[in-house]
Amino acid sequence: MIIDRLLYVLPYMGYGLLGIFFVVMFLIAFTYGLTILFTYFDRKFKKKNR
Amino acid sequence: MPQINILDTLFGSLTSDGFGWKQIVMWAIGALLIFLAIRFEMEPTLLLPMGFGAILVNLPLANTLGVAGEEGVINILFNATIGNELLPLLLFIGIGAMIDFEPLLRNPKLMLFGAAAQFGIFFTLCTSYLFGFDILEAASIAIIGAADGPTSIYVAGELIGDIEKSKHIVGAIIVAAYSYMALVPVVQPPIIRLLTTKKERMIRMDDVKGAPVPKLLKICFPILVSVVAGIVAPQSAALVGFLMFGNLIRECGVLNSLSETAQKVLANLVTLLLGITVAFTMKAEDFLQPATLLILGLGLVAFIFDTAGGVLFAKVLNLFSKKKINPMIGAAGISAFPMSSRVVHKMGLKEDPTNFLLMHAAGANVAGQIASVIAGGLILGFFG
Repeated sequence: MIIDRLLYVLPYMGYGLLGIFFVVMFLIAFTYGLTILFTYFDRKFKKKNR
Repeated sequence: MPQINILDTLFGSLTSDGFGWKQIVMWAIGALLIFLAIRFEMEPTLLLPMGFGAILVNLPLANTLGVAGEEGVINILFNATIGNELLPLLLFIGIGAMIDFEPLLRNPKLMLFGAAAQFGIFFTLCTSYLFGFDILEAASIAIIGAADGPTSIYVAGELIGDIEKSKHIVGAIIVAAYSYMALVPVVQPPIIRLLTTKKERMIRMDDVKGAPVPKLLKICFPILVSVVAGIVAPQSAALVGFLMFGNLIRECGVLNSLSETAQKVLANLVTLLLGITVAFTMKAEDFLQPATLLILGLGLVAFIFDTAGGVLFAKVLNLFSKKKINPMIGAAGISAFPMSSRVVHKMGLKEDPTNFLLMHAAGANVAGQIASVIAGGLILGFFG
């Protein structure tokens, strides 16, 4: 009985943790990408205005 | 002259069927919550109204919950604001407007600790289910581990708010969520000390220097989070969306008065109503069940394993990286903002008075805010 319950609920634990890490990895990648992009444009804009 | 039985008129409610030892116990619990709020300043914005509301709704024959088929004021407030999950979402606008994501945007890797510190939610899901709760009840109890009041209210309300046999546990879930959030300075340090060595607690973290975070990034970040979370976990769209909407109002730079209103007036107004309305779930016959003690225990398990998840994740990362991370930063990934980051910072200073962990801990803490809401959305996606 307990084993049945454990086998039923464990996959949700796995999917849940994987899901959060998946989303977080996406956000980290996008954040780094946008940081590089906006910093590049910031510098280019400042150079142009000198 | 009309015949009036004075004693019956004044004290009749105490002899009615609606009054017994359970009501007296709830008065004591209400008084305890008020005492904890005032004496120890434990989440006073919620515990005080909840405590007072618990006393009000357990007065026999009182019209707060309605009499003779008519709805009382607390029923009306509950159905209009919490029963439809409106108030937690409005509060999230205010919370989003208060959050500064700059420490996180300077070091986006800290988001990993926010994710790891949600381990307690899923561990408690398993534990609650093994204890015999059905899956929806177990998921509602597990969300206490989000360490976030509005998320707990929203998710529990969505999952079991309409289920007759289960909705009585919502009150215990909310009391547990807010009580343990206030107890973070008590719960986290022993767990951190148990799982780390003194040498690990003394690991120095470099100051995060470099170019300032571009303003455009601060504006795009809330939009990015809403879109990504909404696509991956559509059930989290409302939660994440309202949180990020509040943050966007703050960061856009052209809505300063709205931002201030959201941070102060809206947040205070909603909190005022939330506490006393949540008391609807604290009727004696619903709250005084054996399950309530079990839920309070499982809530503690959730917080313990959230802390452990974050710390152990940092220790695992240290096995593979040359530049060591102070494992206490992992514990700050819990969503209890800003309490958890202050706890970690204080513990760091205690080991080494020159080791300032606050910026890193704050980054992990706000990451935990995002991750907890995503976790709530995933739970709703699985079981909602």
